[in-house]
Amino acid sequence: MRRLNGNIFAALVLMAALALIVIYSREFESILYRYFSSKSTTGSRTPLLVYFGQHIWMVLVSSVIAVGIGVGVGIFATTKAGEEFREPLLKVVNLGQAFPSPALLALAVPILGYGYEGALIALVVYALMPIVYNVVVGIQEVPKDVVDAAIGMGMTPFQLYKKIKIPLALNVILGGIRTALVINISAATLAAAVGAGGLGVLVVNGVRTFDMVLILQGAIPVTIMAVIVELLLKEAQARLSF
Amino acid sequence: MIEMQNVTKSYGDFKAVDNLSLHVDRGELLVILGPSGCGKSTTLRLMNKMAERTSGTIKIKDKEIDSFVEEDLRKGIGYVIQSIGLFPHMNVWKNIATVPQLLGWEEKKIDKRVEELLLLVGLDPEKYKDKKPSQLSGGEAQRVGVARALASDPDILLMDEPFGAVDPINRLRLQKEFRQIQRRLQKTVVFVTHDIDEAILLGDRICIMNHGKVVSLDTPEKVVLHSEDDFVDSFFKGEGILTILSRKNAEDYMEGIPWEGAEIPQDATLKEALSQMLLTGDDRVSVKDGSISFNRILQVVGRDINEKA
Repeated sequence: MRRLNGNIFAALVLMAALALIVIYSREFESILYRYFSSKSTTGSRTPLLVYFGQHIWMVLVSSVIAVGIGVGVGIFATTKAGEEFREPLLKVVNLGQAFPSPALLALAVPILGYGYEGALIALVVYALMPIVYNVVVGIQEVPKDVVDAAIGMGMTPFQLYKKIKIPLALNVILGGIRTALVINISAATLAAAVGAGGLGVLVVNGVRTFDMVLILQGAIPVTIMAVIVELLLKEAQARLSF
Repeated sequence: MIEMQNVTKSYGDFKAVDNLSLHVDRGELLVILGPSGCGKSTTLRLMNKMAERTSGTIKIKDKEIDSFVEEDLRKGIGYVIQSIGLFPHMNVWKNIATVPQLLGWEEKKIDKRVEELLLLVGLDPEKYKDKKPSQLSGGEAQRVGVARALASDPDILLMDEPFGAVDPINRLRLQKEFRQIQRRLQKTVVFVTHDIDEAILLGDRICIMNHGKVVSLDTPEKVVLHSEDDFVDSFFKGEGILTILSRKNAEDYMEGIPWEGAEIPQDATLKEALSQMLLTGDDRVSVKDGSISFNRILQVVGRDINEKA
């Protein structure tokens, strides 16, 4: 119990820190100036809050879509009807996870155009892969004898998924969602390179101008966000799975 | 209660069950005995449509098996498998309540039923109903598995090596208890095993299978003592008679002669009585307030042979 509360406590502390950074962005900036060199002039930039909002929105939308599609496709692949898709699908998502995310985003531009939509779709595709993979593997790993007993007791295929397969695979499924979200938060940084905004704008501009302050102003909130999501989903995993 | 006629189940060219016919009467415990891969589990799974027959007819309660909705058929048949398959994310209560819940029983009725069943299989309801399967010993888990299969009070029980994963000492206890339960509830049971002692101890009739076919189907006494089949003989290796003795309670054959020598427990079988005699070297052992002699056992065996010849 103490370990569980530890996750939430750490997440709350980090959320407070993140809120402070976003609200008092000027002060945060001046602290960074004290330790790192910078060429940029302050005052002319978009407030951190705007980038932060764009970033969260992009992650949120792409994650919700990815979880919806990923869980659906994953479950379908474990059914009798989806049996023949299962192996090829697993191969694709497995390889896809090794595909570099900047390359995927760069590919999205010529196909989908410059801007928010292209970035969003690339993020969805990228987040889909660990989710689909874990849903399929999680459900396949439900012990055969347990499934056998459940069918033998007269469960319909729907009841079998609802009462047995999904609850027993939940730990693995949530693990996949956790991976997807954490990857998504950092991959969304690259979306700035295709003109989709977000905290990545600071990072990309900072890299271009060798400006440490700018890079850190973008990178630190992104990192904190990823850690918060990681902690919260870990907690959810511990509580929801048996 | 269950009738199979010329049933075949093929996987490609391989016939797991080959033109098999058998019937199980109401209240009967039929044991299907045979080596691994002889088709005994498949035969069992054909009865609740876990496996689909290739040809032949199967009737359950005088109704053609295809006339049932699959799920409804299974809800009316208890099913126990060797690995038990308890749902690890549900406590004992929920595991046992599965079928009643699928059938939409009221919570109160389920509660009562779960308690009843736990008592039936010898587990204290207060102590066990909230436990998770991982907190149970092998024997306890198997008891819960039996309780779960009995939950909706089905007429038919299909059991696939249910005690196979339990240690020998607990297995014998479970077998004896299960025999008691079956006699009390008068369920129709098909029990698959490769354990000869178990088959002889439990079965009203034994069906011996090999290569997907029925080799022998009769009462344990007849199958063991009057087999005309080499495969059956090789199966029992001439020791079957000892196991037949384990079907008989010593108390039932007790003579009113008091005996001061070694004593066997009240629920001991004739096999145990014989073992005790071999141990002590006396030809008589004490049971309850009487005793039983070696000659008496010979007499019983002789009568069994005569009776069935």
